[in-house]
Amino acid sequence: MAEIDEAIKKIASHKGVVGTIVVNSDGIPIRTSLDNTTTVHYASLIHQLTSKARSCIRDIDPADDLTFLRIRSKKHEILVAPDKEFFLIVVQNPSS
Amino acid sequence: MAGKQAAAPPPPKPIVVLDADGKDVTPKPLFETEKAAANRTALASVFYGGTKADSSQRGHSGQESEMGGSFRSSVDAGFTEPFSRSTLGGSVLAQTSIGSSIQRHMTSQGPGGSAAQKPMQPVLFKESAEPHDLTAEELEENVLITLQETNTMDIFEQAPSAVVWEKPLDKDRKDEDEKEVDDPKELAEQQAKNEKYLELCKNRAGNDRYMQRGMQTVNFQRKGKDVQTVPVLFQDVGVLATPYDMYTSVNESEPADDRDIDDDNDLETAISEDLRKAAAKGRPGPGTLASGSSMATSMAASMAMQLEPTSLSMPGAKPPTAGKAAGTAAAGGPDAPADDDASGGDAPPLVMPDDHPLFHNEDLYESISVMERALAGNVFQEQHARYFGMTPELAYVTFDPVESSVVKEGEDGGDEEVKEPEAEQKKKTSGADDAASDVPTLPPVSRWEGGEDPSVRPIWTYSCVETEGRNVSCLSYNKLNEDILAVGYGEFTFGEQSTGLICCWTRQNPVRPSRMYKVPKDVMSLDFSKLHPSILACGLYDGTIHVYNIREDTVEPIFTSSDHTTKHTGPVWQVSFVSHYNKDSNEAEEVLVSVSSDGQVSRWAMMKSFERSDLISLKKTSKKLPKGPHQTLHTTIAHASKRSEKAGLLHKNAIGLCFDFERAKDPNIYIVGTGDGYLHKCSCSYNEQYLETYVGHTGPVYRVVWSPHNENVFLTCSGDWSVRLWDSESCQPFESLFSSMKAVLDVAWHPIRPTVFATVSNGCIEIWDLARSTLDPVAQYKPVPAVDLTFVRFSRDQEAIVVGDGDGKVTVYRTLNLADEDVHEQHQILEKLRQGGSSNGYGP
Repeated sequence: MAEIDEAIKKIASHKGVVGTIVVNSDGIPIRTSLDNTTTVHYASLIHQLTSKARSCIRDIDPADDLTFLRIRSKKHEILVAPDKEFFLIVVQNPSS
Repeated sequence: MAGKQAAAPPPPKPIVVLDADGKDVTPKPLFETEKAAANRTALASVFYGGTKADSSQRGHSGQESEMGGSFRSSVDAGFTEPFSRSTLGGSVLAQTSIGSSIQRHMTSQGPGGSAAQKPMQPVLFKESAEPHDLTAEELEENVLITLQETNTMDIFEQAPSAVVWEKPLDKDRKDEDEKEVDDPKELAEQQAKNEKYLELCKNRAGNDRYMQRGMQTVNFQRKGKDVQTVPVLFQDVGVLATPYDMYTSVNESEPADDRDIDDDNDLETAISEDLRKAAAKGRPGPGTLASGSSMATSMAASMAMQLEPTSLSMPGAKPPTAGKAAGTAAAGGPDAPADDDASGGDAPPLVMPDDHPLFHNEDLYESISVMERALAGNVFQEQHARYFGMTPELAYVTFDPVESSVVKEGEDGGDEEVKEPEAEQKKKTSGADDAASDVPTLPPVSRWEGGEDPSVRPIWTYSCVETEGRNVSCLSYNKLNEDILAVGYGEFTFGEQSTGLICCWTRQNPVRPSRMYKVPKDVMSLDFSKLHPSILACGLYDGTIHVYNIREDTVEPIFTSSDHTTKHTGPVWQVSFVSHYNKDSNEAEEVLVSVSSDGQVSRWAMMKSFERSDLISLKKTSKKLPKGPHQTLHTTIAHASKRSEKAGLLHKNAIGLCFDFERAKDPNIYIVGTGDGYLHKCSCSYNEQYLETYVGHTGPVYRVVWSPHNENVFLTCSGDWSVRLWDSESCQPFESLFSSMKAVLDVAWHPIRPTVFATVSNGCIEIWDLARSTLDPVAQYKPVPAVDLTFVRFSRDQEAIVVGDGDGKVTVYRTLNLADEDVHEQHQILEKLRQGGSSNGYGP
């Protein structure tokens, strides 16, 4: 199996992880464990939110940059690791 | 329609408008005064004299003249507005004069030498030579229209009459300006004029000679003309200039787009590409996507093939990958409303082949590690809260125990449902002592806070697949960052040896170790360096010592003694970094010391290579003990050693199992514990002799530790089921503690409280407090599936202990309510015990 799959398995095996998505900079999901509609939905929405969050951080201090983003909702938590070339999105519900 | 010849300036003829048949269709004015009627035609003719235009000069079609004619008629009406007679009369006069003046102008400039009496004609209204229906040829022929600027005509001129007559305010310039004063005569004239005018103004009101009067100007009729050109290509580019964007461009020179826009095709390509990029960067939503693509397709029909996939797949897809993605994702497209609706779970998943360049990006793997920690942090949030002593309500948020809405169908949903009832059952059945499960369910809050008794509660366990079943032989907190814990796995008993493992765990991720080093032999001991916190030394069963640098991500040790000829020949039971402050060189120095079964205590230098120098060879002693109640127990050992002396060289050296350097008084002094039960005080300066021998244990001494608070006290534990406290000046222990009939494998002092220490033996963790009782431990904990507990350490920063067991698990426990007494009191108690003990008992 590819190195990337092993690495993603590491994440997916954590307790409560619902889904893992890796999206490239154009917004195309390149690895996902959810179905297509949900994946694309998440990818586009998170992309927009991350751009907004990044611009917020950089507006405050241009030398800074966004490294991690966590959105906690009632039902689960969305963790986003953004980068220049990719997004790593994990959805987790620790109590399930 | 037909114009009439302009008459000479004296009596202008009345205008008569005739239609094609010669009928008089002169429109009647709305209101007509006597003079007006008479002057009507006069006025009209002055302005729009029906002269023959010079068709060669300003060739026009009959249409123009028609319009002119109709305009004339409107002018007629306009001019006969209710003006008073006098004004009308006046106007006629005025206009005539104007007309004459204009004529004068015309004659002086008149192009083409037309008749002198021809009045000025507005450029727009030209007449053809004869009104006639245009023949087909005339319609076809090209008509040359020359547009010329009219000459500038001065209609009115008034010279300025400003005269300097006041002296300037600045007194310094007095002299200069006086010379430049204008002609005083002019000044006087102007002043006279001014006065006259002022008087005039005064007299004006009510004076008939000065009247307000309005004037109407000519409104030229306009004609619109449309022109068609090649359609202009438009491109909308939106740019958001944010402060950080400017910062980025200034600091990092970004490569500009090189795009050669040579011909139209390239331009179209470039524009459509820009569109895609802009759509991708701007709003990658399905709505705008559809509009973006439609705009593009309308603009560049040839690009339609490439742009179609854009509408199907994700926004911003580049053509080559879009083609592939479109093929695989055509059916399972995004939620684009305009496009396909056949998506859903049927389509193949959106995955890229394994050779995608992104998969070699290091940042991706780093992000994955960070993500792992965040996930683990979520799972262990409550545990971490307890570890730090926070109440759960303060520290964590509970999630709604409802099924996540992300997963709707398929196996994932099914699994969720199955897991839910199981998890609930688990919570109900498992009690407080559930240390063995993967993620221990914590006991309800009440049990944590209940009671005033000292107790120990498990919080979480470090374990993973690779460590299952292994025996934890040693562990070491990182000296700098207590979140990092190095654990060595190896079997103690001979015959069960196999490969060993070293894992570096971080508190943030108890599920997977951050570093894993596989070693060929079992690991017996570990220690982190204090001076260089990322250096980790370990001793193996075959006598080799490895030194790792955990900062680097390699699996190879930076130093190893496996190739040495001088390596230990027996298992290295303890390695320790010993640091002391060298007053001469004003630096802290650190050396690595090891002790092994071959009876050698060695010092290792890690300069350029791994060098060993022996500190001492542990020789067997046969110290005789004074007679006392325990003598029978000791005699067997004495006999054995005697025998061995007689035997000669065979078992000359004692097995060294543990050692500890004194930190307080003299950094050269250390205590060594042997497999015979003896403890020897040694010095680095003497490598032949022991300074002191402590007799008391009847079994192998597994651990010796100096007290961090009392420089004369050290603590030992041994396989003879006992824990003993020693005064370094006395050869006998001042306190011996027995609590169970099992070998005590490890003992550790509490870092803050002088009288508290913890021990582990098979199946039991005990916390002792000498201030309260020297007979029984104050707290005991027995993990439910009984395991061999092999290692215990107190945490330096938190009220916690970490215990390793024989099943590969390292568990973190929280200690509660450990001591009531003050630290100082405990200190005194310990001192008293020490003194008391040395006076009683067996004394030298």
